[in-house]
Amino acid sequence: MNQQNESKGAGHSDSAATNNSELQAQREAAVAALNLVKEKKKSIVKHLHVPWWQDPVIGLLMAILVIHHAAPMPFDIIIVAVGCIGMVLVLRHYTNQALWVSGWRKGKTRKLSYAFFIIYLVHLFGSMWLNNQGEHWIIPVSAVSIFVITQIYGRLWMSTWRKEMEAEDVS
Amino acid sequence: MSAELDPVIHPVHRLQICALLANADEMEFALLRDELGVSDSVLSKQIKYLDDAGYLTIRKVPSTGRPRSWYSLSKDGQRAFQKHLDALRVIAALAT
Repeated sequence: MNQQNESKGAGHSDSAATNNSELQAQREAAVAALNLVKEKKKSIVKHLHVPWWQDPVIGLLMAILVIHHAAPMPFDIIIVAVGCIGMVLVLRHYTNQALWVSGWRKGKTRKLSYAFFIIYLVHLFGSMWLNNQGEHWIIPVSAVSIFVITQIYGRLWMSTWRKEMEAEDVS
Repeated sequence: MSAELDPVIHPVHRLQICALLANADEMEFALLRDELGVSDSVLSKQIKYLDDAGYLTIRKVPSTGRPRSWYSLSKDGQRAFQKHLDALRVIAALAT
């Protein structure tokens, strides 16, 4: 009887050891998979190339899209068309890379994009209103302001995105 | 939280594809291939599994020579990948 109990006990401890080693193997595989996901997330950073001229060109286009209303018709419409075509060409150049990351992607960068969009609208309608009130100085001031803000936004967006990609979590 | 791994995503190449696409809006075939370090045919096969499961959105863009294929995770793919990561975290956190 005692011998039977001993062999049962040994059987239990064997299967417990097997279960434990299986669990350990599963755990190690899961950790390895999570590390691989982390590594791939980090590797994206090196593929997104933003040429030096991109932010200044976007800044200029934003500036003309803010102050277009100050030009007489039909130049107003022509300036808007030039601004829009310019934006399309910049985006096209950007998508010629093998990777596309939207400015409106989920994460902290989306908040920056919303903030920038609101600032753009404030510049556009603010300069329109003040210009109509006879405050013509607002035109060059708002153009320079949106240009500078675009440069800051571009850099801030990239550094925030990089930090997010290089973060240790894999969410 | 359940620890159910997604059999479509679990194989290492498909896991890498999902990890890359989850962090980019779109990625081109050649970049995916180079990142995974596999041949065109291997990548095509892995992509087909993900596409058949409804996890991918594919966009073909005309180009000089062959059309360029761009891939992104579909809504279902994003959800499945997130669930898969949650399951991996649960397993990784199990006490030994």
